[in-house]
Amino acid sequence: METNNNQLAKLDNAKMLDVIQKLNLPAKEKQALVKQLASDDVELIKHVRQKLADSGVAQTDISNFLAELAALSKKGMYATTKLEAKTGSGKIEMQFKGGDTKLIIPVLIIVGIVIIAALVIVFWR
Amino acid sequence: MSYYRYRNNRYYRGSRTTPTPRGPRKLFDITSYLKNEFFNADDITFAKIARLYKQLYGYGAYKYLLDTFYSWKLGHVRVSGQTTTRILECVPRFLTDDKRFHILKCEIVHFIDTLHFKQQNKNISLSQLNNSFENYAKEIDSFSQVNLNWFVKKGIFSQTEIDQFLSVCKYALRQKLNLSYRQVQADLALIRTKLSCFKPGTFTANYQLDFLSSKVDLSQLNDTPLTLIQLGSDQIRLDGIFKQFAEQYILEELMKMSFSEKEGEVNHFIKSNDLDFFIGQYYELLDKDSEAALRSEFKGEGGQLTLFLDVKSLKRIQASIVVSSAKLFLYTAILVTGIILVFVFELYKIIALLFFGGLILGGFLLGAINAEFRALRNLTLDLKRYGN
Repeated sequence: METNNNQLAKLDNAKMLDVIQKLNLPAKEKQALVKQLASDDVELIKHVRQKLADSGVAQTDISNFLAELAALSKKGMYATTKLEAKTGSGKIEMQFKGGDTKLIIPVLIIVGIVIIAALVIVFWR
Repeated sequence: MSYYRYRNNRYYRGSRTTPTPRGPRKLFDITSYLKNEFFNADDITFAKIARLYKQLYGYGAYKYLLDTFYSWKLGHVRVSGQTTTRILECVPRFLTDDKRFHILKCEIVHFIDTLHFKQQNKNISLSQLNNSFENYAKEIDSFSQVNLNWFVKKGIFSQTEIDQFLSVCKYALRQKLNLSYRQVQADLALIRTKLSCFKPGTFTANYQLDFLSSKVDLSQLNDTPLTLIQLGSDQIRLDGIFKQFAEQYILEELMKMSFSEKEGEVNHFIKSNDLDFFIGQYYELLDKDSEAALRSEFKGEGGQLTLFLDVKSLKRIQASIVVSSAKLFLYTAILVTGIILVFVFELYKIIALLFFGGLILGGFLLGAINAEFRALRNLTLDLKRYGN
């Protein structure tokens, strides 16, 4: 998506430096601004590295966790569990619902049959 | 009017009967600032201030000032309200231009913060998002509620200086608004691309705008067109004694915005990767017929996305429909059997049994039947949403 509203985007470091030099400021203050600009760039690089590392760790954690969960599932074990991972841009939470519905169906069918049998007995007379 | 009275009246004029308006806390304390300047003035400046003090308040006050100055400075004697007011009137006239500009900046920035505060903490619908930005831009353009009459009356600043720096602050705010708008639009476009594969109702998403501290519901993102508008931008012309300081201020603001824009681009990239991974995991879980509730928060360029996804297995939905239908049948059968038994064994003759039995058992069964009806309705809805 493009926009024409990009006056700021045009203010890259070279232009910023040019503006700083043109300003009627004492040399010390100009130097401080240039230093700030450089330190911003260093900060950004640190920021990117940290975030990429966080995302990498989170992705590995989640993948490992899901693989373990899948293994449990294959063994017929159902677990209610929660996973929280910090990613580069935020966090991911996964809450798994356990329980085996296969068990409930036969129980319900048996109870139903018992009730129908009771009804039949009552009306048989 | 003294500065004390001016400060007290400035924000709350005519509001004795109305509750105190909420707003940003003022961080700059001009009284402390000027007192500090007074007690740490060099000899020449102090002599000038003392001379003016003598002219305005007489010899007695002047002598008291000279006698007590060090006791005030060391905190042995408290500076009275009257003396503080007098100091506040005298000191600003002998401040250097950069210090005068500092006061002006802090005062005007506070008014600008108040304007910004009024635009924050709202719930905005996606279709009204552009309007919110446009309205804010109009508010900035028409903003002139800077009450610095006390400073003008005392000759500390001229109205032109105030107006000029106000226009600088408004320009900076407009630029921040433009930047936020571009960043929010870039975020929404990315989110839309990533969530386009989801059917409506299968996800819940909202977006918290950083600049406006406001929330937008994105559940209808795929059905709402995203149109870009031009917020426009004014040019400012700097002049006067404060030109140099104003230029430095605007440059510092632009540097902050430039950093924020670059940081936003980084966030955009990281968020895109994280979203891809998150959605990938969703589909993987879906393929495995798992059941899970996924929640995520991703910081983007101009705000934070909160996304909720429910992983629902089709097999489990179908199984749940069978279970719910069986339960419904079971509860209905029990209810019907109960009613029949009441008539067969003429239990209705035992009024107490009928009353309590009917109330408790009947109530429980009807409640259970109702719950199962609702569950079935939701399950069929899920079947439609998650089914192919």
